[in-house]
Amino acid sequence: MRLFRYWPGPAALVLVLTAAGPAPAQAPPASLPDARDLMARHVEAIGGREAVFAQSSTYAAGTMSMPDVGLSGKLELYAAKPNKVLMRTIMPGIGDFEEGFNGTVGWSVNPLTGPTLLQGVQLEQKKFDADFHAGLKPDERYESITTIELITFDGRPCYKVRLVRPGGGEDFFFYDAKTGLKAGTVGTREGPMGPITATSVETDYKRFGSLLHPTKITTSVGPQRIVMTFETLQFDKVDPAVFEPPAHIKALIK
Amino acid sequence: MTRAAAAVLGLLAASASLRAQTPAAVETFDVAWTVIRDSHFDPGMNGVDWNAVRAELRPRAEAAGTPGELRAVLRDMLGRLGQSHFALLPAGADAATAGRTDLSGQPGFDTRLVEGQLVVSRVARDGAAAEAGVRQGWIVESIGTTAAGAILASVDSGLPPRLYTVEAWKAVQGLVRGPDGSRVPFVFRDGAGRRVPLELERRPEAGAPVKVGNLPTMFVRLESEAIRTPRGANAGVIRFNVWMAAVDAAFQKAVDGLRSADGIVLDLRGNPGGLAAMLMGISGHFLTERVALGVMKTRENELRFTANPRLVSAAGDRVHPFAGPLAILVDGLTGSASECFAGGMQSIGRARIFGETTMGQALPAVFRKLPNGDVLIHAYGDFVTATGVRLEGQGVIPDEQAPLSRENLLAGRDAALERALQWIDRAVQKRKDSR
Repeated sequence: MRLFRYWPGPAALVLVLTAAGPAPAQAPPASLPDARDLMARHVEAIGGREAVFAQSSTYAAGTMSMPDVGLSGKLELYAAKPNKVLMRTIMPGIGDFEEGFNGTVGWSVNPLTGPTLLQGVQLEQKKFDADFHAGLKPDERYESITTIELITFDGRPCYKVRLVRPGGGEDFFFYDAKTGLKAGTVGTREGPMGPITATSVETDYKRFGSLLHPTKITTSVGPQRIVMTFETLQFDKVDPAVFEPPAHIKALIK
Repeated sequence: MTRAAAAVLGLLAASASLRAQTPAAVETFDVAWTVIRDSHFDPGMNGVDWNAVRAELRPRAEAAGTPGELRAVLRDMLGRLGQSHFALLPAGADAATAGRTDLSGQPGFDTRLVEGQLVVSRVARDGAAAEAGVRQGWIVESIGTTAAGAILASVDSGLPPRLYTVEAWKAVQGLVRGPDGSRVPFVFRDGAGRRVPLELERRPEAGAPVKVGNLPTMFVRLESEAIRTPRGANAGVIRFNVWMAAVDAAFQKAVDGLRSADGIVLDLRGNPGGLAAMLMGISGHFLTERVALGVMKTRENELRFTANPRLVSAAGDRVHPFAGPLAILVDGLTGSASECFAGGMQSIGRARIFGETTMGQALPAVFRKLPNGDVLIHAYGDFVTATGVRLEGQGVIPDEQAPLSRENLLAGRDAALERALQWIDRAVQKRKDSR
């Protein structure tokens, strides 16, 4: 099951704000748990490897809000194996946003920048992030995975894991020391305006079928804050046709 | 948005929202002070001792007895930075705005400060002013019981001319606008020097209402037309009043309708800005490459405003971005995102700018809702064009200055547009000569 991650687009960059980044590090313990064990513990905590692997697609619906701006809209997320994703947002006063990757083509369509066919680094990143079973195969996806410290993240003790992506670049995952559940991420991605570093905090885990899933993901970029809240989560009901690029994107492919 | 640009957007809004007040004075002050300390793009706070500001003003916030008194303290704090895009949008009426919160109606004309006088610069086609016979170039002598001289006297004469123009416009709008359906008496002086007293009805503003988050409702308008240049070339004129997402589809259609034109004139006069991200989409109608118009420098990083070439028409057909001459018209009420666009396009050599120097209030900003319900607008970036020109405090300087004159207005002439069309003619001729 793909754990949803949101990299803010230009609308968010211009409209939102407020950081909730990691707090100063605590004194490191004598020894840190192995990063792979932490990741495996998380998978176990949400329902187990077998249950996760049994899912072939997910659909999530809820809201996306920018509380400091006073904006709130509808959010729909689709994901399917091996690496298809689609996110649709309807923001009142701004319009409809769509970002997708169908395994080959990556795109975004919104009324701020117009239709965009992802290319180069942005396309590669999209492909990397779209991996449906990313959480089950860290060694395939990263060159190195290391637990680097026990810190306070989102006000709770968390292990910080450093993951080095192929070709460079780092992601940081945070695992709740008490529950084993993933608490959030910090990562940098190339966007239309350049590299953006975002901190995401994953909270309010709830059970959907046999799996636990965070129902609130708060992403901070500088002083901007985006909150995704999920009310619905369904497995194995996604129509593959939903990943077809929209007409304006198909016209760009020609 | 800048402070003035934010205020202009506020005036363009139909009405301020009214919500219950939560005193929370000290908490509100602390949040506003802290947010700015932590997010201002300049860690040096533009040379202001921010801790000293807090030490001085926090006790006043604590002593504030009314929402209006607290807002005065907050505005004092914001003013210490001496920069645009630090503003407060009140959640409710206070002493400064009591009785004037409903600005949803207006009589259908705009004004500018021309040769030291308040002059009608534009008359809306279907407004009450047009029906009553008001013409551009007329002098506004009084609004209600307030004489033009008194209006201008209320504006700080120590302001730079660039900001004085904006403040004068705001002062006029504060009197011209009011509840929809209400009436306001004016005294005009027409082109023949005759005194013309008229009572005009305030009517709802034209355009599509758009409400974005905490911002008040705005009315989005876009017009386009095909016109002839002095030498008979085909030109298109596109004008829109604010950078809101609702503009995108209409702009796309307008460009689609003008693809065969010899040149396009984009009229951003009076456009105070809006959503800066739209620079990337709108500029893409005129650029075939992903070129950066400029950079927003924040405390943490630099974000590029890169054009997204628009290669698909509204109908879904593959097209090329418009490659002909692009003229942009600006004036003293062109602000914020409009300035970033005009200055950016000028810096990469894609457009020629005509008119008057812009507001010079071009700091990208975001919002923060404060504990008392008010909304703090605060800059967190500094915009610099592709050639490194900082627009804040300077504005976009036109390639060809074309200031308004009363004589031209009375004659129905538009000097900035005329110069732009002449330039398109020269560009067309140059292209022919090079063949």
